[in-house]
Amino acid sequence: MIPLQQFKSKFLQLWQIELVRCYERDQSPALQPPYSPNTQQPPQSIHVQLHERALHFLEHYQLYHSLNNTIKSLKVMVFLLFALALVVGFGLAKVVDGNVSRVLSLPWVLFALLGVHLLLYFIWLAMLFIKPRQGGFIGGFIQQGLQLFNRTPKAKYALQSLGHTLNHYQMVKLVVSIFSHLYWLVLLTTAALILGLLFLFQSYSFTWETTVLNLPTMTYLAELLGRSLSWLGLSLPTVEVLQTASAEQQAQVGRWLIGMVLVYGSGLRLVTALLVAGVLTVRSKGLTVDHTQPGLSHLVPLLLRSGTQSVDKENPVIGYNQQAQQPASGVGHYWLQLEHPEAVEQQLTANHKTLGTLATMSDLERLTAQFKTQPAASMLVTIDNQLTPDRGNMRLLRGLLPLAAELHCHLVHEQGAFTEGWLSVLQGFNSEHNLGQGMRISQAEHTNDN
Amino acid sequence: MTTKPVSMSVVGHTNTGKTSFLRTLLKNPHFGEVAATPSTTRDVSMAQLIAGTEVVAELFDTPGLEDSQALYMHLQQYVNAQNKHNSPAVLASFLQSPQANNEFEQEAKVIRQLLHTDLALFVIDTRTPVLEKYLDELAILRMAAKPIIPVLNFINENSDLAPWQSALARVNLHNSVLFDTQSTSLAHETRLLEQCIAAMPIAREPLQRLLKTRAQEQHFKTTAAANLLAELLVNVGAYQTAVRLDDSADVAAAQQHFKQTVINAENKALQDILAVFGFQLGDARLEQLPIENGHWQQHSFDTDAWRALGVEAGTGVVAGGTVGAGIDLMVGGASLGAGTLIGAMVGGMYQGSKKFSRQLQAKFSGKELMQADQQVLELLFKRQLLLIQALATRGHAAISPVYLKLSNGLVVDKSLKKLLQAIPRQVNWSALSGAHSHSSDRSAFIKKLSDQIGALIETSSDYYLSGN
Repeated sequence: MIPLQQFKSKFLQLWQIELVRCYERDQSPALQPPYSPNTQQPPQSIHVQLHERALHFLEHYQLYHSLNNTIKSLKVMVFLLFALALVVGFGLAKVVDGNVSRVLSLPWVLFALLGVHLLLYFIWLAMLFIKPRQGGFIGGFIQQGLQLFNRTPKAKYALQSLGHTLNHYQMVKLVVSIFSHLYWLVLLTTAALILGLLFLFQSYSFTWETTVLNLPTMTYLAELLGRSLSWLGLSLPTVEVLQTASAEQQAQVGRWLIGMVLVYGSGLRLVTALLVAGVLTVRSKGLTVDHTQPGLSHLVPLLLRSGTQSVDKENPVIGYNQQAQQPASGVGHYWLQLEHPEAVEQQLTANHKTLGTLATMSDLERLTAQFKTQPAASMLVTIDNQLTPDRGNMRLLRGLLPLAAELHCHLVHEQGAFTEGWLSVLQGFNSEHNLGQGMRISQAEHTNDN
Repeated sequence: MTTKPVSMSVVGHTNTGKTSFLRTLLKNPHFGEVAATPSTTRDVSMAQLIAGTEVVAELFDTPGLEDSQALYMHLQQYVNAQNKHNSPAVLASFLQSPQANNEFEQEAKVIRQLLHTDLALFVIDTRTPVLEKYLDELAILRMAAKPIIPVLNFINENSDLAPWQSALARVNLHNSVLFDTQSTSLAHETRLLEQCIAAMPIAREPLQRLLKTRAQEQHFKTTAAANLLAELLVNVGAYQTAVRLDDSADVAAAQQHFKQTVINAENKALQDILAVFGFQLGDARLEQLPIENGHWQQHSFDTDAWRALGVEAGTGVVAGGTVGAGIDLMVGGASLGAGTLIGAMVGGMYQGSKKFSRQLQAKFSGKELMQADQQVLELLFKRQLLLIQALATRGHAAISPVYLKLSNGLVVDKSLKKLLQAIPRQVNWSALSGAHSHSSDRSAFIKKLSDQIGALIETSSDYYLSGN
């Protein structure tokens, strides 16, 4: 059955994921080793990713063995179930041998052959509409039974996870239904076959017998039963005819009886099993892991995270080194603001002539023209350390070096966002140009930083 | 339908938060390197935005533009009669020059990448004034002839966006989007992707699929976090341990063990909740949470922690009270006697027998059962809920610490209180007892509790609609 194979494969995946989840929930998280999903392959659904992870950890936690053992145990249980069905089917057919005279009451034989099956079938139908209450007697019994075959310490996780998976994905009813219908199918088909063999080699006669029913009721029942297989061309003699039936008419009843077991027994179970299999198939198409479950949900962001690829790696720049020389001496003390005007302490700039803002290359050109012939003794550059240093403003500073004997860089904020960056860059600048005493770096001590 | 992914270059001045912006967009706190020093990103790196199994967009993180004024002047050298109306050709000529591998190597990487992508996301630090160099950067980027979406980063209620907006308008860029990498919301992402669609109508369908996936991811986080909290409450509320009340040493040891089990359960839930939102312990962003080494600094039995959340003072652990009640419930009162109990068990109440076996076992061995008080459940509920609400709007690039306001204004409403009160009666629902109950009743209860918590998260935080 290909659709059932599809279900089996999906169910196995869910079971494997659940097994790892159960194990990890029960164990200390400290035992969980790191797992890195393969981000180089094309993106996959979370179901596939969780399954791949589960396969990895089944191996790592050595759970494969207990899973395989549980599957084997399940197969043994199913085998035993069907063996039991064969035995019970055989026993059921022997109901016709209960009477030494081999004169059989047709309604009784019919009831003995199909009564329990039909009763349970209708109970099953009714159960379809009842809210499931998992963890009951049957579940406990099956779990205990499976544990008999598999007693390893990790086996409990395999069994737990099987129950959890069936329950969580609302498949208990469907799976139990399939097995129960297949069980009855085997049982009733065996019974029909044995019945056929008995009828083939032994002589039986059928009568309509009753203690409490009157003749008209019995006649009506016989007529009703007779009509039940008329669509297959199998008829049932009337009550009166049956009491004095010929051998041919008894054979007709025998065929009818086997027909009843095959059609309303095996046939009914087969059709129902196929219908349930159909529902399972449909369900399995949309079956995907519930990743909102505790134990899985925390893995999702990590598994769905995109990998990073480096596309244009850094190349070390070779041969780019613009050295600038400071003049040995100069005249006058000047103050300029780097990039934009920002409030500074008055005493800092008290003895300085203001040069305005140094923000662009043309500002630098203007200053170069002004100080080319007569450099300054010192230039105070106030820097807004709320703004980041960059190669652009370092280029501007470098442009000032030939214009002043001393360059004083002052960071105007006590706690600027980029103070550390500026200090590091300026110190690097100092050593790159071997400025030594030619450069001073200072920082505001009290500002009204917000 | 699978189409070619939209490629987007994230560009901007150095230290404007390009990598942080990508971290937030990718929900990956480990993407790239973030620091307050220039040139932190030196390579061009690519990461993907995925909707289901479809790569919708490729995002390229580029180094910061640092020397745009000099570059802008330098680029004028490449303008000639053939390319004076073809600015991408001017950039291509520059890329062939030795300066592209030397003086302007970092800028060349940005330009090279930009010429190969579909659109540019120009990240602006709105805390900085509009400087000449930024306008030069914009002028260089516009030469690539690609759609540019300005992303105004680091916005808050005090941000004055007008200077930047008018500067952008002067160069005909009216499509800026607000984005704060410190805290994010679906609304921010939606606006950004809508602008991308407007700039690239051809990519409408995949980008809309991405939007849908993003909304589903947000919903997933709420649902998963609510599930984790609901499961924690059930595990703690239903947890029982047997204790001999007349033996004070036994009581003390049992209490200690009980409390430690509950504390461990809460810490495990805490770590899982953090992971659901894509955070990990040890991240600098979590430093200011009242969490230390994966544990709440004040454990769930700390009365100071209760007071902080407006939970009434109590003992934390109660013993004995529920035992008798449980058994009475089982046998229908003492009048019905043990015969009823046996009858009920024989009658197939497997579930029931399992449920009360612990009480019976304790009762017959002269012990009482210990359970967490309602206050503990209330504390767990409030504290984790506040954490979830804080994490829900936390950007993945946030460096500044998150402060968890342990507000005592959070009131547990009647229906939730009723649910919390029902938990201690379901003694075989706790995974902490070693039982691995997975009954439909338990699942249905957790679902109900989780739905209520989920609704609280979504309504009480501006998770879905913030960012206006």
